[in-house]
Amino acid sequence: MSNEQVADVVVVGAGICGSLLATRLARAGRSVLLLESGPRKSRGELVQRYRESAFKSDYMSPYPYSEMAPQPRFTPEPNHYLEQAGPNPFHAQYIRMFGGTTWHWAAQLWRFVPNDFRQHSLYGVGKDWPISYDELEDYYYQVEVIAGVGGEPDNGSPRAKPFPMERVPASYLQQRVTDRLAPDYRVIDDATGRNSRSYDGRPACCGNNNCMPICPIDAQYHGGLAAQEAEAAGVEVITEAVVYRLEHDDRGAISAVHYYDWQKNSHRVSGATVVLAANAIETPKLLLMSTSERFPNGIANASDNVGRHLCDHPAIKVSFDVDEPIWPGRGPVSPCSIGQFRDGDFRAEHAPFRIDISNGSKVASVTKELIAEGYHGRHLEEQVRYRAARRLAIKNAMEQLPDPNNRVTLSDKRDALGLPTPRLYWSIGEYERRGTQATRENYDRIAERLGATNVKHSADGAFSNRQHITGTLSMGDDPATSVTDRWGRAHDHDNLYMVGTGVMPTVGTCNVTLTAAALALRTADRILEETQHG
Amino acid sequence: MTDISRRRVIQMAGGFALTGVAGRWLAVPEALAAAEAPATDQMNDFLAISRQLTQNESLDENLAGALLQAGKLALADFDDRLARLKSLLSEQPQLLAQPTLAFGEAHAAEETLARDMLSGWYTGVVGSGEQAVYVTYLNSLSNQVVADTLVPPSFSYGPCGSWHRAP
Repeated sequence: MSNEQVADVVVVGAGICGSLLATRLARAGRSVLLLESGPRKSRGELVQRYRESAFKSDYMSPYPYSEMAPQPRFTPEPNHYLEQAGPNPFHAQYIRMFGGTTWHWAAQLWRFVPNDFRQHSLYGVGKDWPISYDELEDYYYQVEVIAGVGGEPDNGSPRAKPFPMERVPASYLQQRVTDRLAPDYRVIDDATGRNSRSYDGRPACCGNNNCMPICPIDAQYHGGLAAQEAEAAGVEVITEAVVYRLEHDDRGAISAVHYYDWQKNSHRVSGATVVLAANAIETPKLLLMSTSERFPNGIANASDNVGRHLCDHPAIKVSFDVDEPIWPGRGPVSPCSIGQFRDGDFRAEHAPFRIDISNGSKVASVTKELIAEGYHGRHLEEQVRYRAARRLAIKNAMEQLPDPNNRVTLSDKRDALGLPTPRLYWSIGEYERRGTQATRENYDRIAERLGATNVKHSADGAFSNRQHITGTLSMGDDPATSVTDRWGRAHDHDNLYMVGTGVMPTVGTCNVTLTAAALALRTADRILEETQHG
Repeated sequence: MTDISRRRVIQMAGGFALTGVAGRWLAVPEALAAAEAPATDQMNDFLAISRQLTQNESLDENLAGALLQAGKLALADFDDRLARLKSLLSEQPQLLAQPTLAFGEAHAAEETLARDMLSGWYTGVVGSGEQAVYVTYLNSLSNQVVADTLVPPSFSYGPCGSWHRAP
């Protein structure tokens, strides 16, 4: 391997956003080098690892772990890769592997609602985006075509064109819950990149009910497919390449990227343009590590905004047994939701939210629950059937306002390559707590409507994050309050761009990948435009 | 797909393995070599107690052997506790008359083993945390209990939309 590679564009991170951007640039004739810190694994290997895992409820369990490119792990025991410094733990899960974190997801590909982009102007809270929904609409559609997205068209996000995919038929569970909650609650099909027919060489969903942690047949789109496509388009990929420093020249432009291979040999690569796509925690970590005399606080950090405004959806859950068998576990795991609380004047007072209804099999979880309660023999088997047939689990995707104190910094710990690990500070504010109260009231109403017994809420004050990590590389027009401009370019460095969920100034009330991917394609077009004359 | 064929598919596809955790994936021969082969008497005891706990007389003997091996690998004081559990249930069979286990403080260790054995049979995993050992997936009894309606996650349910009808 050369120790001095050159490409038109160097992309750091082979997840869904970096891969989509790299593909577009390569197809336009640019030479692209894509560096990925993790290894490459096949879908077949991952499925086998899932089936042989002792921890199937941990979505990270099928994915390989290496001390050379560590990622947060929580089973069998937490590895404490992420140092928690705030009052609320932020248990981020992300995969450092060719294809990135969307190997494990439910292919939720939602658009924001238009008012999400004007939150501050309309409701006096949070931030406005530097761009509008209309500016992103066509890019939303481009990603929807790539991924084969279908869903309920009347979901609050206007469309110029129909979904490219017909929706996946509703499960029996979804039908019963929809009927029984109407008309007070409108349960709709989620927007998902899941095939209801053969599409782009991939088969229709056949109900493996394992979208998370891995679809065994690629019936849903994911970053592994995007990364393979990048390679097929001519992108040069180097895996097990852990980028540890960005080098700049006298003008402040990024002149090189330094990475370690897994034997800790250092390599230097350079490109006219550099794009960081290493997720909303690892990218700020890299920027903060890249200090110099001229940039003592790190690259792109002149205004001390790198890593700040860490947001996710602070979620609460409820589970209960419905008064009729609905049999979760037939069809996709996350097919439907309630969207009527995503927008409205109430946003001036409390956080908006969406309510997600799970269709994941509950057999394993109720079995563990019953054995813990001491059941045995035929009573155990009767109860497994009873609870597995009736158990319904619900959680919310609630918007968190950007708060500069919620942030990613560097811890004092070092990984096996001697690189700092991330430290996170995360705190849930009063706006979100009022939204949580509103969520909880709706949970109780929903449970009552479904004749619920055995109702279990999240503990008061306990929030889980939804792995929708945003804000740490926020785009904005004002360099004093943002890291990147409206195109994802660093305010401080003309040839440095960032893509991924980190550039999103707010988190909205839906899964964030579609918005991040749409922004990534928009950034790719901007790079092509800016560099077309060489 | 009929209920019968779904059960048959599961039974045919299921194999047994012993897979350690913490990044170490044991091939079956390696795991078997690591565990001392159980004596026939112990195997008989394990199977008899398992039948009492599950109230299932048709437990798979090959799976029983794999679960026993896993127990010896993953559970502390397994041999002693198994012997004590055998004695306890022999002397006080009424302990299993209630729907839930309640052996009392004096026999807490035996009750814990009973739950661990039930976990092995019903979830396919023996032990917990760093000591957890995966044994089987398709053949876990909880998957068998619902096999007329569900397939274990990651296996195909049927053609797209077949889940639309009432189960």
